[in-house]
Amino acid sequence: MSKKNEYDVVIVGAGISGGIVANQLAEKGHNVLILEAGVKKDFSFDTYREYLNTYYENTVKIPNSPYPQNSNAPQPLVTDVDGIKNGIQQFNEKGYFKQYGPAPFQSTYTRAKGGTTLHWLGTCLRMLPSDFKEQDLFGIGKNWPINYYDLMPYYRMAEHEIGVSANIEEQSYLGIAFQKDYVFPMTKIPQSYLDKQLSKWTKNAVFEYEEETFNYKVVSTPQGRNSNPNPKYNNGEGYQPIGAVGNPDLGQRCEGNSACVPICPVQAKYNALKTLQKAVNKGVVIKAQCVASEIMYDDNTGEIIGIKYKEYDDFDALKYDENCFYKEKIVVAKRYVLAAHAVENAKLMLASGFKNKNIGQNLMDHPVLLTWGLAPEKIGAFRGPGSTSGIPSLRDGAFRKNRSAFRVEIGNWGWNWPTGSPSADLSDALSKQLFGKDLRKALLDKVQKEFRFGFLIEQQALSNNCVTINEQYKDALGNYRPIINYNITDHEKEGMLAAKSFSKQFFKTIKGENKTKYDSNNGGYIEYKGESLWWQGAGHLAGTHIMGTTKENSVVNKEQRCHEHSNLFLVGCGNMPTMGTSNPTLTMAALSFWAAENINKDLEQLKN
Amino acid sequence: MKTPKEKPLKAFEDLSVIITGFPKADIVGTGLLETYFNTIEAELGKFVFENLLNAILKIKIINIEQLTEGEYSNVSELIISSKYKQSIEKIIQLWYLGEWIVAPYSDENYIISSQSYIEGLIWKAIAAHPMGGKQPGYGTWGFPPLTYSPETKSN
Repeated sequence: MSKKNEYDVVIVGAGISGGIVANQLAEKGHNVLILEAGVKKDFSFDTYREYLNTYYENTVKIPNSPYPQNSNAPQPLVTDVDGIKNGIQQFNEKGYFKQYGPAPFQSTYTRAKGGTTLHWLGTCLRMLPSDFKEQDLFGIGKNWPINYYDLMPYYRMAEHEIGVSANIEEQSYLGIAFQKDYVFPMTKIPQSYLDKQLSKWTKNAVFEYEEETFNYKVVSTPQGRNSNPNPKYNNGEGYQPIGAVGNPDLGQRCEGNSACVPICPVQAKYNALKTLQKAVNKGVVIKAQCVASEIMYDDNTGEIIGIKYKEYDDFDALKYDENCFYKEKIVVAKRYVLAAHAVENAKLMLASGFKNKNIGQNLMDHPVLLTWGLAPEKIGAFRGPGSTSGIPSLRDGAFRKNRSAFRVEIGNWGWNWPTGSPSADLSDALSKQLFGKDLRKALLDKVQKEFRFGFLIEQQALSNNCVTINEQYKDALGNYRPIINYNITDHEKEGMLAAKSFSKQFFKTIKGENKTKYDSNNGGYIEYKGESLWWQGAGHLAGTHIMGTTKENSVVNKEQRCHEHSNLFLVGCGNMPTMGTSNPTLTMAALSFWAAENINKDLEQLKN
Repeated sequence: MKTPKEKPLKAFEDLSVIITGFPKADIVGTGLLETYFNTIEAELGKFVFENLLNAILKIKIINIEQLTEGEYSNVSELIISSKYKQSIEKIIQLWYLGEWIVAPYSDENYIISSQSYIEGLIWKAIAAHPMGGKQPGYGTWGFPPLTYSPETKSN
């Protein structure tokens, strides 16, 4: 048993949120422990190289493919998701999630030191001011207890921590404001040749839908990957790009490895190992292979009195059966932080018998409608970061009353996501008995013209989309497996219809070939108003412990503190009551800085 | 002195050039010729592999990097023959993907090594680079693609 108040703060989860909170609090001199469920890994670059080799040698290169699969801290995989039989979505028993549908939940995350930032794309879009008050503006979705301007200074901190490359002039749209004289740490990542051609081919053209017109303006995406430092940053102080952990000379610039998801070979793309290492250098202790299993609290006051966790010795799934070996321990601190991921945070609170009825509810993602086709000429697919630009014109508008907003992401890696190219193109060509130079030419001519869109459809927070637990479903250590109920609303399907129409008009405008063809046996396939639609998960899990004004409408208050447990803070995308059309990591990081500030205030008060 | 393996290895090299459409320099340049020879021999069995190599050797080809129409149709016949079709497909996939494919999506499929993934000829075929390897450098993705037709003779 640990000594009382051995630590000022205990954080569950060594990902970006936990890393930021730990690093900020250590900076202020507090004593911080992080419990990490994943396997013990050091900060050396050799360890990271092992991930890379695992990726190379894995035949199925899904987002979690480089990282350890671990029965003591299992993680969902996109390959767990079942298909459709006789028009009915199937749900199998093979994955970590127990899914009840009716729609398949297709997103995943990573339970390892560094968390899901190990395989994120690095997109760092701020949310729009309107995204914070959707109920007021559109009568749908929720309001945040804070607004864009409250979060603005924390966005700056997040952009500094992650190292965001972007140009202000391009990013000031749909109400996104920046503080006077602000510049991003690094200049924008060069746009791909594809981006530039699409921009050229759609110049002056418009997308017409339901008596409204929208532009096709192709805008560079702010990205958490290293480019050229902006000398004007921080009042002329500049910015030093952060290279690879354990090999800092490497990864000072993006080298175009075209593998951001699932692994940047040189760590030019930010991952949370960078923040965690800083935290450790300031004295933060990370205890890995320690899975939090219960948050213990006082029934009368709600105060957290300790965290129970299971420390395991061996992570090799094959060596385990019913007799897992672990030690149960308890750790005590002045303040507690759950930073284990939206789903894991909710699961842990449910497992601990928390009373707030909102816990686990309002699960959100960005269902991604994929469309794909051929450009009218070779654009050089499979080069550069996964996406360097998007089309933001449909992120906001009065139409949000009637249908979901979406952001259009332009994919640089051909049809890799929707069809599995270029391997799929090879199979195709071989089935036509092509060989030799004919084979090469066929592949070159086709793949060089390939590109795809991802339409990230905004999803509302709804109580029926939720994480729950049940005694029947547990993992190797006896911890609960998440049970997921999930569905897509007509509001979202209307957004998908608009997206599909956008794609059709776009391909016509550029005189390309729309090759989108959905397989009705694939998970995520639906038909709506006579149109076939197919969506995938974005990995943007959010909303399972949203912030709000009362314990009736939310789990945490605007300080990110639990309404019913004043010494417990929650961080991560779970706090977000809406996600808008932004990939949520940047906003989560900003909120983590804000949470750290509030925790620090608490701790300072305790001292006095 | 020729080692006992040299002759079949040379035949395999020729076969590889013909079916992949890549010149000898690219095939040998992968550093994987012998590795793949051993993989194929182990997977298909010595007998089947030898038969395939002998069948290729029987086709008289003047320049394996530039097949004449007659040579092309003779090779084509071999490739679509029920006897060799599957084996040749697997060998092409091995060269292109660095992976031994038993059947599509089979759990028995495997990538020979990190090197074999990186040296997969498919990336060269599409004028790109392996995802996660042989990085072309900062900003290169903004340039027009460097594409060349395999028909073009550099000399």
